[in-house]
Amino acid sequence: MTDLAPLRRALLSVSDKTGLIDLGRALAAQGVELLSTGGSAKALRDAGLEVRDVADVTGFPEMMDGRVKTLHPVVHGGLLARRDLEGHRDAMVDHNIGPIDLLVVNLYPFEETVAKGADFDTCIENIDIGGPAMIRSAAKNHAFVTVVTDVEDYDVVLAELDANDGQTTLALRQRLAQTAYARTAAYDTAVSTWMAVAIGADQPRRRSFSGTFKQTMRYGENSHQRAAFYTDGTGRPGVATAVQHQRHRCGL
Amino acid sequence: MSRRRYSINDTDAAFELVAEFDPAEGPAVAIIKHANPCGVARGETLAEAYTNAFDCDRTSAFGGIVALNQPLDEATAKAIVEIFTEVVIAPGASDAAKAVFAAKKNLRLLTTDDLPDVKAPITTYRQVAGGMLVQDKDTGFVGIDDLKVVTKIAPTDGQMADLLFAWKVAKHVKSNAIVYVKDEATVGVGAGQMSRVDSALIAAKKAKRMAEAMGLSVPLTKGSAVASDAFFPFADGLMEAAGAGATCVIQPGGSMRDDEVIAAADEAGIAMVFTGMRHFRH
Repeated sequence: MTDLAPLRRALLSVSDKTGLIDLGRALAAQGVELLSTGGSAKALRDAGLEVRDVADVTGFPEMMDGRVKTLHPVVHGGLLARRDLEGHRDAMVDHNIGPIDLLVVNLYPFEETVAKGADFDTCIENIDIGGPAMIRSAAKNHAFVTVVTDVEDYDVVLAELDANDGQTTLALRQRLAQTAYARTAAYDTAVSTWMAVAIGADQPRRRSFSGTFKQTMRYGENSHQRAAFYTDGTGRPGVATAVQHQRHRCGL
Repeated sequence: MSRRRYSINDTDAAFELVAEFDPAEGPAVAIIKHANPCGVARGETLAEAYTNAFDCDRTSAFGGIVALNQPLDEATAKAIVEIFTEVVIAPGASDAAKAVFAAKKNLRLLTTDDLPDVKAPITTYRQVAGGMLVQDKDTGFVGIDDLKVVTKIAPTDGQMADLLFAWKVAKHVKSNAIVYVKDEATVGVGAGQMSRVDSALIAAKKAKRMAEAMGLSVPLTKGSAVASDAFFPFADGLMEAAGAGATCVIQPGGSMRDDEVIAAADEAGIAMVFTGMRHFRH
């Protein structure tokens, strides 16, 4: 069995629109059908691309102020169905579920809502539910589905599609799935950290911590220890934000 | 839930250090203060190992954390309660030992099921402003076959045992670390100094003070083995150790001035081995 997975349909739903149009164009050029929601669909359409609304696919309108939009079996079935199992394929046919082979979602930056000093209810409304749910479904089914949660991964996906006749490799899908789970975990870290403060829980029973890769160090405290630096998103001026102006050239 | 009134950091440092000493090779004890060892020793019995560790720096051991590589027994418990000790951590404790501790209200006894595997790969996280340094735990290890003798004279078997002992301890001492060892017991520990020569000096000074307190005619650094957690950048650190009476040295090597350091060792009639591995600890 080949580890290449074909890409027929993509669902794009992003908060950060950077690179979205280029990605949409490249996918459309490969003959990939585009599904999208809200602002992302509008941006793609404005660029002259043919896009289907998720609401059109689910047959359900967005409701409850957008709280329920992509939480639908047609979406999650398309992400979770194992393409190698007859039973799963039959279910797709029986329930009119099309495959979603590529999911591109970046989450609404919850931290920014908090940073703007939004009140409790506004922060709660800004907790993305559908996005993380789709990301987790797609990541679980990475044997077949490519999931992208960071703009910086668009290029590598497009490069693979070019190199492999419109397909992605398992190695890439695995790497993206791992990134995806770390992304949703970091998102929930931001939510739970904010909530602990908001409700006055000084020492909550459970806490989580997250980090974003910044750089590989040549080594750790000693040369037999591998090390990497991760930022925590606070942007506190210091070693994490400092700009290096020259590199050392020799030992010592 | 019990309230922890002891230092997590110091207790962790103590147990991770003592776990370097395989219980199958005999009892070992480490006494820690502010995350640095102020005494580490083996002994025929656990109680003897404790006494040997205690004799390295009795002043600093006061209010320390004691870690054992074997379950606490009654004799060791009795030796420990002779001074104020904050925490004892061991892979188990006998009922008789617990009874000895029961009267000591300010002494915390912690027991575990086992010793940690010091060679198991683990990822460590160190928080800094705005981020986190993620690195492999220092599981570096050197055996006798990894050592390179660089001086005219080679260490004897007894010296070699002390050198390897000192090297294991140095790995757990904050840099710059200089550790003097005699008969598988530390006799002087210099920790956390910004210059290596100062660490060597402080360790020797502590040994001298202990010798006076114990009524010894010469400090135990006389005829000792000494470990340096990183290379000597100059000969001065090595000369300091030689002056304190060290007769053999273990260090990574790799300095631009290794030749000078080796020449100084030969001049002083010292045996020196290189590990090729550094153990900075911060």
